[in-house]
Amino acid sequence: MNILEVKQLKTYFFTRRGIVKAVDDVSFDLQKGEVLCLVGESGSGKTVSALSILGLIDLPGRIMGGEVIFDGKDLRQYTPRQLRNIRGKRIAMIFQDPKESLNPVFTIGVQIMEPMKIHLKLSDKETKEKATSLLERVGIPKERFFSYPHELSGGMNQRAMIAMALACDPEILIADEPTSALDVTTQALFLEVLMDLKKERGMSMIFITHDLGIVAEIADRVVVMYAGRVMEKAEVTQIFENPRHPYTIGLLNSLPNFTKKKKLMPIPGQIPSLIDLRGCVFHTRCRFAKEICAKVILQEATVDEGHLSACLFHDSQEIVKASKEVGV
Amino acid sequence: MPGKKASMGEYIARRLFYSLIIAWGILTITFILLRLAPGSPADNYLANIAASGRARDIAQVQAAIDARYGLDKPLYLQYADYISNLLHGNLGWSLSTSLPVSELLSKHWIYSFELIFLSTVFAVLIGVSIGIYSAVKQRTKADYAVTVFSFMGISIPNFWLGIMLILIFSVKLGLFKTYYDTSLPLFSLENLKAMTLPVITLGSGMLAGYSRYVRSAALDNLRKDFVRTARAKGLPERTVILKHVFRNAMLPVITIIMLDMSGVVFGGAYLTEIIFGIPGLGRISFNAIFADDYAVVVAVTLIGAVVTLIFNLLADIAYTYLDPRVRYV
Amino acid sequence: MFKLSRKLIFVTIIAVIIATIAIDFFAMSGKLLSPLGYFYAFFSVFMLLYVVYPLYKNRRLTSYYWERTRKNRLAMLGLFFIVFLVILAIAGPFFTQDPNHVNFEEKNLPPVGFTTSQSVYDSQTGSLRNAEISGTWKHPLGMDDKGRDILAMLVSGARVSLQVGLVATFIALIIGVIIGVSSAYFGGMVDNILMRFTDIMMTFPFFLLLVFIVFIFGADLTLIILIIGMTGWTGAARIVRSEALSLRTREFVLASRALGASDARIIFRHLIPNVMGTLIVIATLSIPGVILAEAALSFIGLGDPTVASWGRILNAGQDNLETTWWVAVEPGIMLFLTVLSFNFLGDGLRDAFDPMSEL
Repeated sequence: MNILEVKQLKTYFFTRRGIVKAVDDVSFDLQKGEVLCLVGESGSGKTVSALSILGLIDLPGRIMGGEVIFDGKDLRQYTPRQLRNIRGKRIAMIFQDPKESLNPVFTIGVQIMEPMKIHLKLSDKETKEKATSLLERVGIPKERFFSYPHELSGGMNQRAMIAMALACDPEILIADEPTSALDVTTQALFLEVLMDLKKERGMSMIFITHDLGIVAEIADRVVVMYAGRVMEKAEVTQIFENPRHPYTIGLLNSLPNFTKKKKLMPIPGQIPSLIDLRGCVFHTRCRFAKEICAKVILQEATVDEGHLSACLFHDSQEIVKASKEVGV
Repeated sequence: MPGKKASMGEYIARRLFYSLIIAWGILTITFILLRLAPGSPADNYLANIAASGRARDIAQVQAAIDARYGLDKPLYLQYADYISNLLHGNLGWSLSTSLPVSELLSKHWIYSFELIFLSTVFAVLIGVSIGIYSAVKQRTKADYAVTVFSFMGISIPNFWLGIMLILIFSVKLGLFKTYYDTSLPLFSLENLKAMTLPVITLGSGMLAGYSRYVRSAALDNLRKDFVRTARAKGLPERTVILKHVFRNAMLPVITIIMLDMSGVVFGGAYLTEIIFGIPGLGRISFNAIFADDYAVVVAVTLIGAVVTLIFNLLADIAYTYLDPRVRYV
Repeated sequence: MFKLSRKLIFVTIIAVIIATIAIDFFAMSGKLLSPLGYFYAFFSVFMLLYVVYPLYKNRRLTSYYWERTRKNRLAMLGLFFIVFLVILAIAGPFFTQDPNHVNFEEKNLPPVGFTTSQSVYDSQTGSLRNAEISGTWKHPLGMDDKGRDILAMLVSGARVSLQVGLVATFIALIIGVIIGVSSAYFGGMVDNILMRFTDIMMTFPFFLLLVFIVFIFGADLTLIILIIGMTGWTGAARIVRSEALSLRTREFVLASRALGASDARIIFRHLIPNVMGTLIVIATLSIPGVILAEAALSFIGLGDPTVASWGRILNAGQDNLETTWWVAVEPGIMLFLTVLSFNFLGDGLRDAFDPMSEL
């Protein structure tokens, strides 16, 4: 059952140099209880997509089209007040840099209690009790209730962020690269806590990352994004075993592989400027690109059931062969 | 946390120590300047007496004055006397009013205080509000209007503004034709009325400055990630701005407001008192200048410096209390 | 090649100026130029060699900053008014009458377009009578209560204000740079002492200190300029110090030190050019404060009584607000516009040099 559906979302930034199409025609859905990973390089539009779901786009950005169906209703038609009742209460979000994302002048206790104070009608005592138990649940000693963010480590801050996000028992948690500011050992602990909580509460989760290792570990389904568009969507096993988009293949080839000693193959070039793009957004860096790729945009083609690719040649022999050679 | 408190006490002790050094420096520089001055402090006073023909023997008066000021002693003894007098709260004798300077000051400081206090309240209330408002409305017409107005407020010479206010409201419109009455209580209606124009005169420049500081500090903080977090929690925009952004934006602003006291406010208050005839320290010093009354001018300068010193110290301490991130180094 | 000759030119000119001062002082007892005159000579030589010439030499960078400043309309407006003011101050006195010329016949004459009713002495009847007096184009800004032409006084006041603003700021900057750079560069004890001294100077409320010093040393324009310059350097010293401190650890400075460059060379070749942008901004933003300080001193009667400063006109005007209000209004407008222009320009320059800073 789809708990959230994003349809043809368009979020553009109106800058002095032109219109930056940060998210262009992006569609995906989230099923109840699953972990959906949004994957891509920085600048691919993952974060903007997530922020657009909650209507958290600031000027000069604007959501120009599309629907965000949650609970059968389009969030884009909501008034700001209605939307606020969703944010933090039914859909919560945690961000990349925990130190920057917490307000430095308030204790983490105050910040964890804040969403409960607006969304839930609890007494002060209940609020405080719940906040303390949440803190302990994410593995922070309850004396830390009165600590300021700068007094905690990055990992603790990020867990405090989870406690804050889960304060109102949301149905969906959006995690925007929550691990990239943490070091590897802290990452593991953090992911463990996060996944435990997810299971415990039966939440659905959108997890944004560029780390394919994490994707392999936690994802049920994957959306691969590039330059503001969706390149490929599939179950996690399909993405790793049968990728059908040159970009996904490129991503996987650029991963170090310890079982087969294979040379790393980075994707040449950089993400293009998002102003004035034509044709397939990836054609400038695609090693399979044909002339037609610079002209035609393919929406989405079905590879298999539940497996979509935005490549015109997803069935071509070349790509199937390259896909087989990706060794994971 | 206990560790934090101990180091905070240490920090304040260290700041106090520095402040004492600075206070000593202030006294010394003042002393040096006084001794560098051409002629004796009493020269003009003597000349006046001579001109009026009151004194029979100028030399005698000169010697008496020199003895009273200790000018007949060697320099290092003069310096020691000067410092010890000041430490005992003895600021000298005002020749023009025939009162001890300390008595004169203790009678008049309150009017300066009232003017500065009311102006600060006026400027902070309005300046902070329009600063936040214009940051939230960045790049709108309202924001540009605030920017242009604050530029004008910063640039308008406040003594001229005072005169213009008198010209418009007192001379042309006949409003506010009240003068400050020292026989009435400080915050009596009459005196508050008399303070209206002075407060606007002194406060407008402060207000303009504060609104600019607040606007830029608020803009800085509006860009921060925690604002997004606050919005993602579902907080109403009001709470996001007035709680999350405001608290952070006010940290630097409070310090700047305190530090502004000596540069902008004291000079402005001096002039404002002169224009509106408010009997505060500025007015006293102004009168003393034209009566060649050294001790008073020196004392007012010293008081200004010492009060500034205290404000700087308070700014430091306030900051450590308000910003949990400050480490006491 | 030119580096050496520029230094040589500078030293030669300074030597010539000092020699002239000596001759002037000892042989002719101060007839050639006023002390201020020598100051300008030094000031212009320095500006030409160390500000105008480098700006010209680095045309590309200069035009880059210029393009950025030009986008700021308020800054351009400010620059326009400042240029106008400079022309007025230099050329104006040749076209206006003597600002000290007293003409009791036409005293209290209102500006063009205004009419006031005043009691006038009628020489025929020998008695006072009420008359309507209208402004004339001969004295477009009117006359004060002693019958002096206000336009002429304002023009001469522009000269005073610009002199004070430019020269005092210049002195303050030189002191500020010397103290800031030495503090940052030598560090340790030197830094400690210099910065404590800066703290002490900063703790004096600027205007009260000015009043105090002018009061004990006397009011003479040159002296006032010197005093403002010698008390107003603290902000510059602090900023230069912190800029220099951050530059000191940058690679190019480390590299040249590794190559065996002398302290002096590092300071003059690397530190000073790199704080130049900041200095230009500080200068532009200090000038209005300095101009206001002089005006305020004159306004409370501590200014040089021999020059027609805007502050002094304002002071005279405030006593007769009921009758000759324009005497108080006009110099204030000039003062306001001048200060506003420098603030606009300074703000634009700061944005151009450092787009990140908002304050």
